[in-house]
Amino acid sequence: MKLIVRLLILIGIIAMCSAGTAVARDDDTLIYGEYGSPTRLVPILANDSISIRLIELIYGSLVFYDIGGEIKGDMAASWLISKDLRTMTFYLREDVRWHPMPGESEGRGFTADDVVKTFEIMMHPKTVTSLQSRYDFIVSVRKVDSFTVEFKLKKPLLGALGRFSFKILPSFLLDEYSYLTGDEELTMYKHPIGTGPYRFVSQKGPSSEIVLQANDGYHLGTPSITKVIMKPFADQNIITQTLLYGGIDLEIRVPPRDIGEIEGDSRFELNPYSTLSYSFFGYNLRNPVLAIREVRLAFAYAINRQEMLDSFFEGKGQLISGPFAPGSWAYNLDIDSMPYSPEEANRMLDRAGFKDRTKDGIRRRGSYTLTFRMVVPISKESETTKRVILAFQNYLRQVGIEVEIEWLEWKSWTEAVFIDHEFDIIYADWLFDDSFDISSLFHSREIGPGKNNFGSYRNPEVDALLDEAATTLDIEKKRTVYHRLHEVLAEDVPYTYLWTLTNYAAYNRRVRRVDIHPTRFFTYIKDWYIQGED
Amino acid sequence: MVTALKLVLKEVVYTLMLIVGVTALLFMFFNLMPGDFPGKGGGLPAYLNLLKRLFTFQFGVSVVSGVDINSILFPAFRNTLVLTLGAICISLIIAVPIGIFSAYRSFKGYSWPLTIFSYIVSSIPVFYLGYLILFFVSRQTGFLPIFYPESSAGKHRLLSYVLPILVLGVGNDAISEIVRLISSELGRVMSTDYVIASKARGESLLASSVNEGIAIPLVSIVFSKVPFLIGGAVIIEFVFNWPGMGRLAFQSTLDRDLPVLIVIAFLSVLMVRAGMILKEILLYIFNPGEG
Amino acid sequence: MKRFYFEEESIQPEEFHVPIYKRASAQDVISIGFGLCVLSYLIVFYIISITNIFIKNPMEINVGAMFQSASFDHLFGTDFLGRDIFSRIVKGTEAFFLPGLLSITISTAIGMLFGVLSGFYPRFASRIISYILDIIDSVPRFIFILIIIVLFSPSIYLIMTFVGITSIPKIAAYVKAKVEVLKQHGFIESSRALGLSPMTIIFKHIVWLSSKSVLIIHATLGMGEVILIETSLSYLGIGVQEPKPSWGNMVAMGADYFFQGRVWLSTIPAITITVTIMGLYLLGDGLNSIYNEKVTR
Repeated sequence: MKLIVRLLILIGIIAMCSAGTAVARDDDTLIYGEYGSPTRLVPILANDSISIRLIELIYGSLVFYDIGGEIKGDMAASWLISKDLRTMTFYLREDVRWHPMPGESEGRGFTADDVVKTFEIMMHPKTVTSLQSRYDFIVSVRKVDSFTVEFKLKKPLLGALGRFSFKILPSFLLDEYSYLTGDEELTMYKHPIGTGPYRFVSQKGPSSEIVLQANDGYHLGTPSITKVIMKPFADQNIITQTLLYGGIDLEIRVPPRDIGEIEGDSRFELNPYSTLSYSFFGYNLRNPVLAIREVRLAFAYAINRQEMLDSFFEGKGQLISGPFAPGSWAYNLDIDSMPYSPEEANRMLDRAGFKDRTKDGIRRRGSYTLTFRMVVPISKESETTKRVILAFQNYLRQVGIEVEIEWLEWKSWTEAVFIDHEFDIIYADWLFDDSFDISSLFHSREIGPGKNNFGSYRNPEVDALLDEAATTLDIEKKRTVYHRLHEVLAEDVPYTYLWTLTNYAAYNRRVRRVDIHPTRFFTYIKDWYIQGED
Repeated sequence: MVTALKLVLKEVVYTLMLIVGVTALLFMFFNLMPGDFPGKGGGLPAYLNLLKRLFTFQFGVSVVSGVDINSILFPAFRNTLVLTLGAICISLIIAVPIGIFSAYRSFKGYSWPLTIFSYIVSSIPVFYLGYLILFFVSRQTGFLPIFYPESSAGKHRLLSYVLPILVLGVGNDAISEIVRLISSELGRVMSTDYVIASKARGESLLASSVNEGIAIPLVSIVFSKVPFLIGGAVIIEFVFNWPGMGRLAFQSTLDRDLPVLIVIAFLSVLMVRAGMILKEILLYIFNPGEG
Repeated sequence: MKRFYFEEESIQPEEFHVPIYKRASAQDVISIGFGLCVLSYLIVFYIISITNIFIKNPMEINVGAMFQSASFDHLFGTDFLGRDIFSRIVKGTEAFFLPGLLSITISTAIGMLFGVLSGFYPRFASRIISYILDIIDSVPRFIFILIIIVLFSPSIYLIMTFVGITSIPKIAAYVKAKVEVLKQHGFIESSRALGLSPMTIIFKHIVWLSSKSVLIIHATLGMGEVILIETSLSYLGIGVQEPKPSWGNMVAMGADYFFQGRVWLSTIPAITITVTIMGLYLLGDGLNSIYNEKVTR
């Protein structure tokens, strides 16, 4: 007994000591929390958002988009586009230095070799990335002199300049390599070296925090925040709590259910940003039943998207009617969203010939029943994902469609969907950049293992429109083409288009001037600063 | 002397056999798995190569991140040990007194509620307990910190250890095990003839039964918890965001990172055997008549 | 190689036969009473859940009626999809009942088998069996389960089979020690001399008379373990999957709403788990206490 009492007293004392010093921390460090860990801190190879955000802090590129949407030079001081629009020459800044290697104090200078090497590795067919299709409009790259690089294009491309925002790798670490698969034993895998506003300092292990230090002498101005720490969390619920407690300063993406809590707290600020992405249900048109358009239309009518958006996401988002994010120039505002109408869904299914029912109430036609297999990755968005999927299953059951859900582990899921094509339905989202190039999703040449047209959707009109959009230089023309694409794809419903969510970042008010880039998040971090205690 | 050496040799050989057994199983499981991933296949030669590298402590490189395993594994291990050792201490602190009280005949009436309490606490799902504590302690009262960055120094860091260790110590099922064990063993020993005889001689009941009644069962239990030291904190590591072995193992399994898993299994076998030997030694010290 | 605690227990198979009603103390009665209550509601729930009578549809989603608190219509309220929590709790017994029995059966049956074999054939069988058991013992149990699950995506039955397998070493060691002690006391030889068949020796004497305490405790503990493990697995996302309800996945999914104050989604199943496991523990303890009553009390 006495022991227990003594223990309690001890705990009480410790607690009282700590209560007073709850949130004190040194200024000028920004700690942010992510749900999950980065896969790899190497551009080109990494394509998950967590890694991309860190890469944005560590690496630089030739140009970037500023807050107003204008193209500004990062490592390129200026550039010249030839009259025939097929040659682009970049004049590089001469004051850019790579981060110092571990153990060294000075970094090397950035030169044209780095650009050339990066490009060569990126385009090499053996490099494990899907970026090749994005940059195949470039025919060749050539180093003119130490600070000049020339790119030759196949043909003129609208918005080509914006594409040169790819991150540059250090050539001096990659001498023996012409392509990268990720298995190599490179120092830069463990200790990334870039030219960005922050230098990599340490990461003790895959679930440990990553520490970054401001890059002294950064060519665009040393950032005001001296240290950035990324803390990976295994449990999403804990992130918001830690923010509220003061353990982290910034939460990249606040789950909808926590928004209310933060909104009411004056110590924190909620900053909405859209990420040019949307969620959808995708169908495998290889299944002859799903190839019937009426069946797919029935799916769209049968589910109540507004109810799901309101209930699961607190209404923080927008329904979409086509394959683009709303608010983007590609979105066709004239096309309406499918209304929620189970009657219409039933009518569609009857029209498709699925009038009979099995004894469980599932529709059938001859030997085909409306039973489908949906595969879901046991992924990180589990709370809302589960709710959406189960609600989906429920809505469909009410019109006589049975969906069986199979939970697969991430790697198995990617294989099933993109390689083996063994599935009927998936629930996923696509993340875009501002060119909204959806050709890899719907063009018939993108059907095949490893490619993005996983549903095997084929429509010659869509192919033609996509090709036209890719080649035209007139932005108005492109917009018209995209609007038409929106119309066709809304009618054909290879996907059931759901919504675009508004993401919210939450941060402690002491962090100021927070501008967020929709896909890369930290692009403007050099202007952020931390207000000291008043 | 010779017999001692022979024993050591036998033990070493047996441990080697165990290592082979465990790693072979793991290797086989991996190769049976559907799907393709780096490190699959290879058959016997690949396996022997693996063994060779293990025994020379060249743990190699993680398939996924390319970082060498040494630098990830040992920090993670240290982090987990802090949690699990601390937790075992807490479990002992709580459970042993309860067990002793419930064995002592004179406390029979009082001890039962305590035993019930220890059972209740052992039956709560551990992550729920974590959430509950976080909710009350940190949120409502702002007492103990939920989390502090590893790079921050000083007393705050120590404080951030308190909660996870406490929750793990209370929530793992060791408490009920220990209570039950001590109460039954101690109870039994206290009623054996020689202890009663010593009491008649005037020696304290507790002191004469300590050796057999408490020390031996304790040693048995603590050393049976060696695997717990490595993998027992998985859930707590998730809830409290602790970068330890549990998370590492889970992540590696999801990533199909065989090198890391094999090393974890290897270390595990080594530690368990080491624990066994230590236990035998301790048992011998406490009870020279047996063994 | 001595392993665990039970081996020290001395044998008093049939020395003083004090009738049960005299041996039981108040606490034993309460323990067993409570335990039997728990057992009975478990069985009732299980039967209801298989036959689907009396309760609402546990899978029925009603997005418009989420997060309701307890009412006549919904005894425990509704969850994050508007489903009735009470019926999900009842249905949740299915998730662990049979797998739990499977786990207990495997560990007990095989454990006894191994124990008896090692006891009877100390040189040959014992060594091999020890080796196998040591392999099982050397790897942390939870990690072993994680590996199995990720590698093979097994059903809950298979998972619990493995859980059962991981419990074999303890039982085998205990039974083996018991056999050795019996041997020491010349019990086995004399039984043989009396003409008792080996089967009788094994079942009546070794299993029932000598080992029943640990077997009872193990059976009750085993079920509890199964529930707790499934809960931890559900928290990690790899337990029984939605929409099938299990107490574990209800606590885990409910935890997502915990910090917003919607505490009961997670707490109701957690309390159910705690009460059930307590009941099982107490049942085991009570039975144990009655059957093993030492005369010198």
